[in-house]
Amino acid sequence: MHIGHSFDVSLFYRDIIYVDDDDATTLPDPSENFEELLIRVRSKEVKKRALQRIPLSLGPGLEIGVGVYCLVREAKKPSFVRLDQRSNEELKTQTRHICEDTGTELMPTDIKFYQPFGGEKVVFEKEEVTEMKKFGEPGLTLMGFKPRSRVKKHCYIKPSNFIFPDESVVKGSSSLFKVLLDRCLARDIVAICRYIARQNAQPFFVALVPQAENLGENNLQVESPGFHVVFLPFAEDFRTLHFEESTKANTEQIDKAKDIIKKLTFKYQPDSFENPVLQKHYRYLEAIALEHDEVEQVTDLTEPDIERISRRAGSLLEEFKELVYSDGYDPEQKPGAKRKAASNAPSAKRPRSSSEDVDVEAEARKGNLKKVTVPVLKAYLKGVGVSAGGKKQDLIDAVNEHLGF
Amino acid sequence: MKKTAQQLAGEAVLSRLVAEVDGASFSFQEASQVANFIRKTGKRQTTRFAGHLELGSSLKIACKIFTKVMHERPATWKKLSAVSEAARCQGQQAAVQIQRSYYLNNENETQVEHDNIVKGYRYGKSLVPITDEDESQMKASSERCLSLLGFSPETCVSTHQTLGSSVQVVVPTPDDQNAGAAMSALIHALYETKNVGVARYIARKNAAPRLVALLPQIKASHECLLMLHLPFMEDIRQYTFPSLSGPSGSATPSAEQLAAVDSLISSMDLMSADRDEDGERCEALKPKLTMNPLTQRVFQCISQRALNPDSTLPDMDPGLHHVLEPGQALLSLCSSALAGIKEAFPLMRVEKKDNKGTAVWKESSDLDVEGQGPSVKKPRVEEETDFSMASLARGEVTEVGTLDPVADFCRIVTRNDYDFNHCCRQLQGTMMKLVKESFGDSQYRKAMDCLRCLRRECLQRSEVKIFNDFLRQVKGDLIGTRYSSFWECIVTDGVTMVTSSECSVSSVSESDAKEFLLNQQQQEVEEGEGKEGDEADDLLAMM
Repeated sequence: MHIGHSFDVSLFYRDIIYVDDDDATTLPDPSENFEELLIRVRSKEVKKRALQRIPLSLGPGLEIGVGVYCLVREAKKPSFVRLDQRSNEELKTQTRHICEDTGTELMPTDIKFYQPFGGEKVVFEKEEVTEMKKFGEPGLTLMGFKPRSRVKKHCYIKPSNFIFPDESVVKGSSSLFKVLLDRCLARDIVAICRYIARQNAQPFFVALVPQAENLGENNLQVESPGFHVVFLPFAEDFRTLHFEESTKANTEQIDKAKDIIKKLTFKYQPDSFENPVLQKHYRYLEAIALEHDEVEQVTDLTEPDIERISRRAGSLLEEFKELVYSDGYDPEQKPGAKRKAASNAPSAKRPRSSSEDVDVEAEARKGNLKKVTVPVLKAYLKGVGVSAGGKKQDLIDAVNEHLGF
Repeated sequence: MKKTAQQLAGEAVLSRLVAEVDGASFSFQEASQVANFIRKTGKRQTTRFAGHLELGSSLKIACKIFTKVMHERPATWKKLSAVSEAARCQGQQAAVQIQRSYYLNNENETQVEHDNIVKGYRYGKSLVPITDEDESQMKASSERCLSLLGFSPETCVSTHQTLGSSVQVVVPTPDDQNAGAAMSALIHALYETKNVGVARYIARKNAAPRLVALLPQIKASHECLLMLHLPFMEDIRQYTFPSLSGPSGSATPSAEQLAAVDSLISSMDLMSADRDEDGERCEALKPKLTMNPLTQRVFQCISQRALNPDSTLPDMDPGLHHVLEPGQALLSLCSSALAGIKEAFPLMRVEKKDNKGTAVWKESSDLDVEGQGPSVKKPRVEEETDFSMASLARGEVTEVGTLDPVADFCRIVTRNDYDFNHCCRQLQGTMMKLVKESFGDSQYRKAMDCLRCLRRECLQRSEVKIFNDFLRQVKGDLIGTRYSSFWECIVTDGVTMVTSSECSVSSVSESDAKEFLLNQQQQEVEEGEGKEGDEADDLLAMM
């Protein structure tokens, strides 16, 4: 039997390749490249699971069902379990809440919650704390549309999610979802929604950024059709930064930089980089588990290839440095050191904390001991033969006591 | 009331004062509205990293890294011991301590001391114990660095593939002219060639290395590089989704459908939805102007509780509510577009079997502007071929569910399509289901309501045989099984067969009805009629 043009995947191979129930994507054409088929089999390790299946409400009385999925998430080291050293048995954990004052064990009903406010503790019951978080039922509620350019690059607080229509929640969702996706893509528009993930979860405003389906080579789905759920920051999340005035580069310098960039361009793909910490952890674990003598070494792909950089752009980098750095500038030198070398006059002012400068007694009389620094206070106390230590307040009290205030 | 001359003079002085300093005056109303929205004092700008941006072995640019955007979590709740608080001891903190202890899984549950505990990680199915020395070897050691690997086109880096919890900025070290020039050249070059830098970032000694993208940002006041955390291979989940178009998807959308969605998009434009101070149209829901509703709500509760310690939680501030819902003006603008969509797309809610799902849909039907009152608790699958959204929004009841069986039963009984027998059977089935699936006697109340409702309806329609037969069947089913406690409920409430005195059709006499309720086990004999109130009173009197 030879594989010709009339190879039909659905006859047999569709069954042996693990395909999700609702996943009826076009399978890659196997007569082209067997390797691709193998990749597809291996990569489906994580079973696709929806985080939530919630309604997306476009308006009063108009809802479709969507499933929320997590496409990127920071992979952490696996969690450990506690074992008994002698027998390597797994242990059970018991957590108890103890009242510090009376030493009794507390039931959940005995625990209240508070926050300090104006020097007092404002106390609430557990149910009230939960009640405070209630803003509505889980779901996405459409607030309106905005051009895609309004979602700025720096508007990021949490990893994004992905939504796809869910027929098990509302039948007919797919067709409306599809048209919405089409129109948003065509008009380059994002939908702004209010998102409540679960019961009593905090509401967030999200931007639904449309993504079209992208079939890469060999018909493997590289990008799925749907919306990315990009979490928008609140006003409190922005920090005001103070920027210093700095020099602007001239055209010549910029051009040189552009040449460097052209030489060192590559296409970043997440697949090209493994997490070195995780890999090291797994190799060590394997070596210990299988009692190997040596651990398989991990190449840290995040290390820059210094040799390659020098080879490709070494001379350009030198030329760039000529252009931007003034003669004799050493970037490693600390700015403080530079100042010392430059001017001698200010150096006399440097040791601010010398005890001669500050008259501790005068300050104590004025009641300004808080302004005096700790080393000065300590030196003074040592000078008058009083031993004192601890926090600044203790030192101040000691000075006051000595002077009779 | 006319103002006195003094008041007028005072006003004049104040207005002059305000005008002189170029200020503005507000009424108390306005001021209190602004004050209601609290804002935390800004955070100090701390340097997260001070070092060099390196490229190759020769180029080093002195730089600093600050945080620009990071999600601000609301203040944490601290635990208080109510026991200690009740004792009201002076000067005590009423703090709560957490104690964790570890036990073996044997019968004695012997406690294991801290020294004998070792960490273990899973390798396949087995657990591999790892000592502290092993663990220190497993950790990679590293030095702080921010070192460029190269440059990539900006299309390779997308915001929706970013990780981490903050966005940071890289700026040249202040007062360093050379660093400034070098950084500026790099930023402009990146911007003009539409590239981004890809670098390896280790924030502190021995921290895990991360991959970051450096995006150029040029503004009038400053230039800097934005730093976004990139994913590793292990962080990406390879999910595929069915194609929405093509053979598995539904047919190509009609022009009508496209037009309907288009009109919705046009009418719900947020770019001109708000009005600013001058009354001009401006963008609504700007992230920098939208406050976190949870923080506001918590503060509102705290400040109210601080002033009145005995009050209950206040209702949500209407101002907050306003922010969270789509604007009224916007909704009215798009109502015709919404109607168009409802026409063009057939949508049908699917009944959820489990209770959790029901809760979601129960509330959402309340959002329905034209919908029924709260009595329509559960939307059902439509049996007729009426696919229009309007009728679905009403949520027709076609069977008796377990959430509010009495209401459902009353509803379907009034419809002529179903015959009474069928409805009764439904109610009976639901009632038995409630009894059998009840946890303890939590659902017995509901089941009793069902029974009484059934009795009432049957009596009204003179369909007494149905009820009496059912009650006999229930007695037979329940006594001697573990649900006999429900039978005792029936007896306690005195719900018995419909007697001939209540309805002439019945063949059951009063004494029969009384005897019927006699339990084989131990209950005392009830006296009185089959009227619930008297029965209950008598029984109580006997206890």
